[in-house]
Amino acid sequence: MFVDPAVSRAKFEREVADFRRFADAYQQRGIFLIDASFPKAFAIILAIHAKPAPMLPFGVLLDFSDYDVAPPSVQLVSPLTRAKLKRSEIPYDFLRLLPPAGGAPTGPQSAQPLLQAFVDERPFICLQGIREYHESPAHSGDSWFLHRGTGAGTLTFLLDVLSRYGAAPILGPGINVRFNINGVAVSAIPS
Amino acid sequence: MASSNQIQLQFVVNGNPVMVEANIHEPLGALLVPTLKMAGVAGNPEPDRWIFKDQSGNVLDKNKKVGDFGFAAGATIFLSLEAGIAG
Repeated sequence: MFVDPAVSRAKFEREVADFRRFADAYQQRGIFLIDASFPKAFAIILAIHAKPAPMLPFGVLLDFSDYDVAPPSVQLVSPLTRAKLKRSEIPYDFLRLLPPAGGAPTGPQSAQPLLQAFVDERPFICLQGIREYHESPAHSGDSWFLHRGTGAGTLTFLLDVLSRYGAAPILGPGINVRFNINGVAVSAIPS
Repeated sequence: MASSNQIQLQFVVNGNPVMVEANIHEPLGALLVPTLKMAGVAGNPEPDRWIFKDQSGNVLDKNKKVGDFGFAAGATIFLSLEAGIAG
């Protein structure tokens, strides 16, 4: 740690209080803050649009050590055991649509996967305001200090984004049915 | 005394509530910059990256006039920062 924990703790507790003040509204969107004990917070995010019933695709473990000289660390975890999820255990990409290239009002849009991984064991959310993003050598040109204080990296921002791209698009379980041919159909046996 | 054209709204910016007096004839989006300033959001806000949501998380049209939403006085509106374009 390089930030006085008393400073990070005060900022963490302020963010938790801000979230809890409007917890009812966030719960309507499927966001539940389960534990918050400095420096960690644990939340679960429901896919509220899933049919026939809401689903619980993941939990999220946030670490606010050194906040906010460093942004929070964000790990997707099992909502039951809190074990870190591997990339291969998350069956979708947290896609977001990008605006048409060049700022054109219309045109083909591409989708960016927010969930990425260089190795299966360490998936991360590719987004400003998340420690794993800013610590990646691929993002050395996008310093956290360009985003600090703008709202990126706050508890409400992170849970809102994870809900929007990670849980809200889920409409239900994907079903894969595999048929095996185990014989042939025959007509009546000729006499 | 507030004019009949004015309404008090509570904006929640990054979880932080800010009371704003709005004119019912102005577009909702016109309240963005002063609200972010009141909430202490640092730097130059990028208006296109902020979205207005109601309690249930439904996105509100920022071009629509405040009065057209039928907000009750003191209604809560959430201002959420969109995810940035990451590489």
